[in-house]
Amino acid sequence: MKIIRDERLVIQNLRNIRIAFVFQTLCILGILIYDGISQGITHVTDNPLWLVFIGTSVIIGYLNLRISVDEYETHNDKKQGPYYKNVFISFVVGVIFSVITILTPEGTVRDAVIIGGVMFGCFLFSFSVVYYLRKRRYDENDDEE
Amino acid sequence: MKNNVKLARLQMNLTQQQLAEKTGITRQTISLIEKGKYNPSLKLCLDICYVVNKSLNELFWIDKEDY
Repeated sequence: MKIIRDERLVIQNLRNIRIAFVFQTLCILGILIYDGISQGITHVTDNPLWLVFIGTSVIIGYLNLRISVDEYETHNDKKQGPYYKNVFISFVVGVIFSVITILTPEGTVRDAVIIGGVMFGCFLFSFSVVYYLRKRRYDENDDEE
Repeated sequence: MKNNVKLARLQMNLTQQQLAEKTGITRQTISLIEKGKYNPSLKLCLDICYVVNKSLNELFWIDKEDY
């Protein structure tokens, strides 16, 4: 297959991929909803398509962070706070989820630590990516001045 | 958007196909640019300028009232 170098066709190609992506996502959702209705809601998470759907959502969420940071930076031009704030907020979220896990009827300390740790890691990673992107944008702005 | 690409191309005795080959794009894109139906990137504008030996101003500048 020939590599497309024409910028207009490259953009058109991306638009086509977007349409195909929307169609694919709708189909996956349709299959999962049908699965949930016909075999029970717990069966949905056993389907490999569920992993594909969640994985795609996570990837697009992280990729869109860059857009969110640019949009936020345009409207709020103040310098971001220190990094330890992110660690602290992630820790608080982890603790809250641990406490919620312990308070459930079948909650054990082991489950609480695992869930709290995972939530802490997920939040810290997301916050770190945003922190890094905002820092880079801020440094780029500094270079311009 | 309006531009003078067609005029410059004819002054250089180039066909749309030749200009397309020299700029590395398709003839259809050249045709759409000339009709003002596709706005090229700055890089492509410069590529076209280099081929027809004109400046960006000469090819793509339009006054605010025509914008």
